[in-house]
Amino acid sequence: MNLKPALLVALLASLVLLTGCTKPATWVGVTPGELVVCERLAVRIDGAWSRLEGTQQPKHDVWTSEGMPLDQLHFYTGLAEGEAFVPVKDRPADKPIPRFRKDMQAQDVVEMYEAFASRDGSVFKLEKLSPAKFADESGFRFEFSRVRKGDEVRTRGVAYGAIHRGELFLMVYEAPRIHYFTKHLPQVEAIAQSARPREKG
Amino acid sequence: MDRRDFVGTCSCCGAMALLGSALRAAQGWTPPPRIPRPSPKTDEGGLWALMDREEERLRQSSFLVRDAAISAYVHAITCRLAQAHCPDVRTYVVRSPYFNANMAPNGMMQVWTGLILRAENEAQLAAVIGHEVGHYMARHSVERLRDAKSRTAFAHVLGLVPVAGTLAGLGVLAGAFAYSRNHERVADQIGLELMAAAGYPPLEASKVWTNLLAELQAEKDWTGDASTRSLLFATHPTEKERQTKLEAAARALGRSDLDPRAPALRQATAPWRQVWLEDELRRRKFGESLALLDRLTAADPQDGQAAYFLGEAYRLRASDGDGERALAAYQKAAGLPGVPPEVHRALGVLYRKTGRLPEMREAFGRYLAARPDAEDAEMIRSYLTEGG
Repeated sequence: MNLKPALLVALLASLVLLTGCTKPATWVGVTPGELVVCERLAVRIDGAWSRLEGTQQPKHDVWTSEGMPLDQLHFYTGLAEGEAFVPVKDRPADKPIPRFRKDMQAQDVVEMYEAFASRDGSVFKLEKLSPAKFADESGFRFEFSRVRKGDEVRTRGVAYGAIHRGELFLMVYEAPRIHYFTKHLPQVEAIAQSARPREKG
Repeated sequence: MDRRDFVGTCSCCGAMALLGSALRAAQGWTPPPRIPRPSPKTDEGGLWALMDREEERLRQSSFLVRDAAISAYVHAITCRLAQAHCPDVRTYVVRSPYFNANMAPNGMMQVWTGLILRAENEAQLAAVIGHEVGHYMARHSVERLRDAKSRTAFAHVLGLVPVAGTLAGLGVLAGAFAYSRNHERVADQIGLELMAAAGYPPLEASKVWTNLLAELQAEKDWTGDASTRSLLFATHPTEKERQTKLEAAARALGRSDLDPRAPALRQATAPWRQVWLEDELRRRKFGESLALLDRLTAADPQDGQAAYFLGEAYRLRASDGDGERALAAYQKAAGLPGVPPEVHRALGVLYRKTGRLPEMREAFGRYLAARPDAEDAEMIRSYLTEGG
């Protein structure tokens, strides 16, 4: 087969593009130090974390330290009015999905997260909700426990949230209540303390 | 002592001859003798062994309601209906906000909390349990097992169960029986007769479906989604047909003078109703929930708990005008007996959003006075210092 160089380049380029389009999401290591999550939330990390790359969700990042589904750290960065924790469309099936409104208070955001975390029948229980600084705002911190429906594992979670210029920033860490949650809690608290919003570019 | 109390206290013993004759007089149907444990070498024995294993899983499940009082209450209803079969039946109350009950061939009866919440009286709960006991007495699952088509489907499901495990697996397993429509009709008829024999008015059975149909319609009206179906309906005759036939059969049986025992159900479920209503709203099926709560508030306009949750349903649905509807419901609920202190928190949140700070402080103050150690007390206290 004798291909002209230009054609060969074009073919290779389309192959790369195609591979890029169909590439499944993969876990990649996160380099310790300062980094910006989804271009909107700057954080500092010093532990070993992996993040899921290729999820096609521009405002949601998911990290793990032990590996999924053992522990998971979610960042929701700048959800705007009408957006949800999952991509939503204007169709009947999506109507019950709670959406963010910029006049929401801390309780409303907790309930919005609760609806998301118990959508499969898992039992979610709010343990504590208190005011807390997050993302340069007077935000809130909540703790919860959950019994996952699928495997009945009992988990604990901690979350920090704030509404910054009408957009929701939320980070949620959840892990089995035995061993893993307390193991990583100090690191998670440090990440929350370091979080600073970045304005849209 | 009326007959039902007698049946209840004697644990389905000496009255059976009397009840049996009542059944025969009703439809010429007699309850079969107790079902002996089948030999493990038979297909039926294999099915029982499998169900025994699932029952062991259910006993370990976090979703099993372990409260002795509510379990004993529901089991007593099962026993009144199961008559002589009572010693062979175990009743498990499962925390799940969906309308469902099922009974396995080995005598494992599951009753989901979403069903108990929806029953307006004990007779309506008995109607669904009686239907499931009907499948058990008629050994429909064994017939299905021996039917070539369902055997293939069943084998497929058995392959899935160890993976699905726990409650999710049990749901799949229950669905695996996929009774034929004829089986459902027979179970409906047996259920009605068992109800009458146990002292419950059979006509309440059709009201269960009338209410559920209204909920499903409300959900369709809200979402515009015509595919909404309850778990129990997935394998059952069409809802409307079933309701019509049940009503006709119940009228033929008569006994409308019997007491449906609404206060007994209310008393037994009172400690659990708030948790179950919270679970109900977590489904985010607001069409169904609002239909249910409209029914509860209409049935007892002085029910502060139902009035509060009506407000919650509107607030969480958050459609146009729901904020005003929620506020009106909360304001009404706040003056009624039995209202949970959370109504004051809900009012406080709405007042805060609209800048009504004096009213906000009063509402939050009342909430904190009632629940000083609430999980969100710290957050609420921070609101009280706002605005000087």
